[in-house]
Amino acid sequence: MKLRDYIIRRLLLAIPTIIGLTLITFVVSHIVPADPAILYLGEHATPEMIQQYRDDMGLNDPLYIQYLRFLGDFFRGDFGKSLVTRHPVIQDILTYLPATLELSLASMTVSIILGIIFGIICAVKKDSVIDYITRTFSLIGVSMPVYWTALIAMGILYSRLGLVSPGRLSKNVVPPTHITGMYILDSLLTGNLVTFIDSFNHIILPALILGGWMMAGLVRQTRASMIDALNQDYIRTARSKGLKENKVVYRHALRNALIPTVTLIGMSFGGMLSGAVVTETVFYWPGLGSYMLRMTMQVDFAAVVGGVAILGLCYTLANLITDIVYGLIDPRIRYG
Amino acid sequence: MSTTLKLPVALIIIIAVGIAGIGGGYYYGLSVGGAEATKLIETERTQWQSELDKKIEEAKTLWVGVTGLGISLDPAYCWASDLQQFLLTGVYDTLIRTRGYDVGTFYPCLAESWEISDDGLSYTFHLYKGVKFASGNEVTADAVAYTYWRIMKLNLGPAWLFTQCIDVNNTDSIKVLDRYTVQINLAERFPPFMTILACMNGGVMDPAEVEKHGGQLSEESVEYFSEHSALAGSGPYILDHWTREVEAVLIRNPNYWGGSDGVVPWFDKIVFQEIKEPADQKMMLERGDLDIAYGTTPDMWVEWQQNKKVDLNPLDPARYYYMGMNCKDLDSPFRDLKVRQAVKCAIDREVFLELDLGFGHLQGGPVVYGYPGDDPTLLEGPYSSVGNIAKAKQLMSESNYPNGFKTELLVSEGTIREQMAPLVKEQLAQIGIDVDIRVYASATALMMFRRAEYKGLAVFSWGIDYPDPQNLADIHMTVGGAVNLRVEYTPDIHPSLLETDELCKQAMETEDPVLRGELYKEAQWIDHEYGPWVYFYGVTYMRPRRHVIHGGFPMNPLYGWELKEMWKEIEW
Repeated sequence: MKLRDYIIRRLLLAIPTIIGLTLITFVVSHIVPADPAILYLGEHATPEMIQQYRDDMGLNDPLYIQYLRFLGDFFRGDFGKSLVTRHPVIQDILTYLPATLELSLASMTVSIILGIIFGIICAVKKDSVIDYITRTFSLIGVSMPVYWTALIAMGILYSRLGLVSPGRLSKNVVPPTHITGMYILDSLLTGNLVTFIDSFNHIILPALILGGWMMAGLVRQTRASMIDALNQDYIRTARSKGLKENKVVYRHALRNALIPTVTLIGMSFGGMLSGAVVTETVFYWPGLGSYMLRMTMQVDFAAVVGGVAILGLCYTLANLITDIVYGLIDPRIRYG
Repeated sequence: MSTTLKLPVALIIIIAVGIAGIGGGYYYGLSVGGAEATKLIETERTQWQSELDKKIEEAKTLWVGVTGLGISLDPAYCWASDLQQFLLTGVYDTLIRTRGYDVGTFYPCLAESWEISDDGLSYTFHLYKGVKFASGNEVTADAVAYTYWRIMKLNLGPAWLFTQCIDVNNTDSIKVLDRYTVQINLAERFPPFMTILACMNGGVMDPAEVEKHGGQLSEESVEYFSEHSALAGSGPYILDHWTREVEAVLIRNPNYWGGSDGVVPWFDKIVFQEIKEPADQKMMLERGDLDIAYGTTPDMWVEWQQNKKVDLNPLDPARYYYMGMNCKDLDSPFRDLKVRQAVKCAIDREVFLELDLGFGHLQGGPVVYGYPGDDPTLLEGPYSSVGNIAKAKQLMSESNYPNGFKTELLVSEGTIREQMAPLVKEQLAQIGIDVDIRVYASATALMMFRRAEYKGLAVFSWGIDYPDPQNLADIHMTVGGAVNLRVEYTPDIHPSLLETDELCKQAMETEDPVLRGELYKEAQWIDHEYGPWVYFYGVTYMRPRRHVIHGGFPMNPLYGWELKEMWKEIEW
């Protein structure tokens, strides 16, 4: 099967996945015994007011009617209207998603680059001092909760030393013209150097903290795979042919060792999106995570289901990209 | 220095300065020529000026850290939040204002004067002439009527504030007598009406602006004004935008009329940043990145008590914690008066207050600290907790449940009320009541409580909607009281409810705060003896602000500070 056909097939398969996801989220969120009308209309709302509100918002219809209505709108790109913000949910998501994506992509970049490099070093220098140090730190990284690391980092680097500051931009820096919503990219595209430098400075710490958590897992995975690969017969053969060690490590061992690492990266992307909730909160990084958390607390059904569908889509796409990358790394893998 | 020496010294200084001016000067220890010195001084002056301008600009911006701004900033949709009051009363002028805790005294705002008819049913307001909205349109009686009809007819969250005393189906309820006179006719006497008008929901909007953004009763207008004020307000500031989860930004209203007191605002811009993490707010306040931190916690307040760079600013927002005993089921043990009294005696309020590190006031009745009717002696009443475990046991032995019973306690997850639950369990265990704690998500717990769909006990809090004791007393002590319905306590269970109900009604037949206070006190003593409530404490919030922030009169239970009276030092 050609790559194009494979991608189309996977995208088509994503449709029932997303529908299933929305169905589960929709049912779970609606069977929770909580009435949004009570939350929004307050303590003194009369039963008539509550009834009118529920009618206006379509909350009195049977659940399956509400779901079918949601599904119909969903496929027209309309995720419904948020009960809290009264905006179309898609508009809210487009407002907050770029910040989350920017942070997640920056964290992924940090973790992939550092994770693989340190993984290789640890494998090649197995049982050396650097191996022990890196393994210790990766163990700490995996074990420590992100919110704790984030708060400690803020306490030292912001509160004590003043080296970083929370938020996406400094107080008096104007956000770039909106193109993608990702400040670093938008400031680059518009040639706004001041904002670019400022937004870049602001993302370093949250990206390191969130990326560090994922990096710890990657180091361990890459190390294990590399050690395994370096003990294979084909590596011995390569060395006996007189190939330089660099070539043996990077061209022969690494390519084979990367498959499980790439799997882990794909799977971690979902964790990264959800982990961003905590990081966003601590670093005052208003993204989809904080938005979803707020909407969940306020029983905003449409926003929760819409948000979950979009996150599910991101996760599905990340997995698809992972599968495509498999083929690029190892030509023996065929799409079927 | 003696007089004889002063003259020669002065002469020497004048000569030296003159020589320096003619022949050149010293600049950072280097001797330079006249033209060069002038140039350097000019450069220095420009640099200093630019630095000064920057510092002034910084001092003209106020940064406020908040954890959230609720669901809307439209006066017709938002309510019951001191933070929203703080923000919105800077945007929309009300007819009248209150100041500080003196909630019974009203001051002119848009209305220059007013009269209340002898029967307390008719309120006539005379507006200042020539007052302009930010749009440049004049504030008229038509605008006042338009705004109040909008709130009532949209029928959203705050509508009840007005419809509880105004007949929304009677067009004469709000009459425009002339361009600057508006008369509001109540359906029944309602002494707290003036306080409602003084709250943010009474903020008057420019009809032309509302029409421009969807119209009086449109969903579109609610959506728009939830996040902007456009030019619809006449207050010192304009709500430029509110990006939810990020920030709400107020900018100076260029058409501001100065208010009835003629005070113009200091700040050009006020930014409310939504920072969820209290630790972040603390760090930002200490580093000067925030000027006021609304979302900090009691442990931080304790730490700041010794910090001279942070002013704590206590605020008693009339929010308190209480426990209700559900009498809905016919077999509920709490229908038994002796059981209710035993529970009241067994609960030690002081232990609960320690959860907030002592920031609050113990409360013996629903009327909170500082309000007419607040009676601290209730804490020493026969059914107060201090040293009364023996009495509680005695009461239990006299009840129909001498061997105790099992019951449940409903609380919301993730709140301080969840921490109160084990304390309740521990204290009631002493008198043989075995409490099973049931923790639910906030929205679920609220719905269960609202519908009285729980068994036994429930710990909740109440925050006042408008600063009047009626909003505290009625909910607990009248037959149809909003909170009373949640425990289904009726006159069948004990006829004392009819007495408290009657006293609360009498308190609504007079505007005299002293007399009303006495009536509420009397009702609370009856409630103390028979009612199904244990009142824990009213919270005191600290609203820490940096020492360079000044002004604003003492905080009002609902307003926070008057924004236009605040100012910030220029920091060098």
